[in-house]
Amino acid sequence: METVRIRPPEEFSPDLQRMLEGVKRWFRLDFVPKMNLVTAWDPGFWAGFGRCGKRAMADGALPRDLKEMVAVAVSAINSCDY
Amino acid sequence: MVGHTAAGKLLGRTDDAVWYELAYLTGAVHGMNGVADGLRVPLDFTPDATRVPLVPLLEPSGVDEPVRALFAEIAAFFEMDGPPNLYRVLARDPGYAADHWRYVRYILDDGRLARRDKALIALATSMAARSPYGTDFHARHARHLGVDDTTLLELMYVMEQFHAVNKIGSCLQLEPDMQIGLRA
Repeated sequence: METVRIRPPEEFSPDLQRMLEGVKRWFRLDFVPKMNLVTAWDPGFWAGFGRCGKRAMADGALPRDLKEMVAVAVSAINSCDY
Repeated sequence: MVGHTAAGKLLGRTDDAVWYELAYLTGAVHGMNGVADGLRVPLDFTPDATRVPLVPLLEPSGVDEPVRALFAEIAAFFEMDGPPNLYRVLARDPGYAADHWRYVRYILDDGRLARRDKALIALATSMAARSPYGTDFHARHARHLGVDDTTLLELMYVMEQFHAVNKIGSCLQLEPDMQIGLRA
């Protein structure tokens, strides 16, 4: 069970709500994943972290689907179910 | 882990076979790394005088068939002058080493994922586990298969992000919320 309250998207500023809409498009989801809601909780953190995440996971020398597999492998080693 | 399996499937990787392959690869590499680092098997490509192995390594010139043939096959696969040091330990039980190489070769070779991509996943797995043996071995293997600095750095950015995301999730005990499309 989460140790903090997860703030729903509608409680974020309009600017952040627009960015969270972008997260939904990025993941092709109809909701914003919790991870993005908690990292966006402090806009000062999110401003850099969110952008780094998007840059890291975008298609580049490695395709995005392979990067998702690397993410799964790293998460398995870190025993992170999320 | 659940979230990015879902993300990968949403990107079109819907065939379970590729996720089985990823799981086998991650597990096999982690298993080998645990043995190699646990026994302090010397790194293959980076001299480190502090790694004194807990058991002696076989000398390739002193082994008989079928270990000789096994060593030659493994060295040829990795395009090395001799077998990786890990196999110089495992082959103390020739039957175990032969079975081991059978599944390791299968999972490292081209499959649903290309061999180069598997080398990158093996490297990420090794670095995530902070395995000196695996990092040394799979970094060289990836480089040998043509991975350049740009690609290596992209891999590091992904790893950095997921070490961070994993720990943020653990600190806040986030429960998975992307169990969508995981199974057909």
